[in-house]
Amino acid sequence: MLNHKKDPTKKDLQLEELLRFKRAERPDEAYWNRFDRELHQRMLQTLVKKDPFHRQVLRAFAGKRFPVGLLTAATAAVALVAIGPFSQPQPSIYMEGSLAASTPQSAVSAPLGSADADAMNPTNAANAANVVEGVEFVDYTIESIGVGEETFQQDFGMDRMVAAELSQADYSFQEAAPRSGRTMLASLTF
Amino acid sequence: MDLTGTATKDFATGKTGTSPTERDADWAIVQEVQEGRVGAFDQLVSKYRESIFSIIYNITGNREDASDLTQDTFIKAFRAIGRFKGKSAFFTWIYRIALNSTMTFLKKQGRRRFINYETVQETASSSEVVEKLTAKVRTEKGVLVRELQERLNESLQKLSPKHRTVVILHEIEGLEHAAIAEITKTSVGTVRSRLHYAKQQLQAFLKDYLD
Repeated sequence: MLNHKKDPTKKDLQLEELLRFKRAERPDEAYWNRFDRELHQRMLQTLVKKDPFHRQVLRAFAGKRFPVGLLTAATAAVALVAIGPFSQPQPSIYMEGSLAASTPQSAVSAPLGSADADAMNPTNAANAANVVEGVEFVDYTIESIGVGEETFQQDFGMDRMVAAELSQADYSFQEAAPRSGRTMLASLTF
Repeated sequence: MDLTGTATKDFATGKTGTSPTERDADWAIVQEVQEGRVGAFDQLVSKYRESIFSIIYNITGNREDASDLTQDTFIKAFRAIGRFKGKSAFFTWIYRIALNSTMTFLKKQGRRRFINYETVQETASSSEVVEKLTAKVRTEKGVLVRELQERLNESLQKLSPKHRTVVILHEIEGLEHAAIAEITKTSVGTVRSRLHYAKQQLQAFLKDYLD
């Protein structure tokens, strides 16, 4: 800290003068030469257009040897991540009759093309109308039954939906008698 | 590309690029860059690098951070120059980029602050200050310069970033209140009020030198 012995003949310093001292704090010419070189490099990088992602990946792998085990593990990890969401059990409809005793897993694993699988597939829902008839929805998440533009929804907080659009002849519902001749049935399953 | 052009900052006043002639000259360079002659951008770098470095250095108190942020400022300006329409002066625009980058950096950094001072070059104004102080306190010049540098930087760092910015732009860079208001997107009244408060604070922090 300063040890002041004030000389009365000297004029006091003003704050502005003191702050102007900060202007003297600046880099030398060598610093600016280095700065300019680095800035040029970065500007050139900005100008160079980046390759698409797949090319960057290919370039990263080009000319490099990886252990077979590492590649296999990486491929398996990618496959697991990609397939994982689809391998979750997705039971949608609990059937009465022959399927009444079956578990949700067995319903999902039914052979493709069977009536049960068709009933769960929205694209085949119309064909599966006869199967849907008589189905009891014992557990569901959202049920939405609409007639014309009127729709009634009940949200039970689940997140997967299987929808089927049926004609009145195929499906009828006592509490929502159709007026327009078409009934839409949608059920969210888990 | 050649970056050896001379900076036009007048260190007696600290002002850079504020006169109408300079505004026009900057705008002409910007238009060249926008037309594809990217080498012209070097002239803007040469002209503003020192003042931008100085502003950022005085706000952060760290020369390495100031160096990185100054480069970031020019890279951002280079990328965005196509969108610059010349409604404001180029210096206002680039100073605003510099300040925004610096404020974002300070927020990210939080309380982890590192001080790394720049060398003090001998200039007319610094010599004058040192002479006055040497006569006053009879301390060896080198020691006095180091001590003064530390005290000034510490005092500035005690101010809030907003107050620090206004003091730096006005007292060190020599910008007018209106220009500071434009850069900081505030009113002239706000600039004056911040400056008044900041100077009061600094008077208290530096009273050993000013009494």
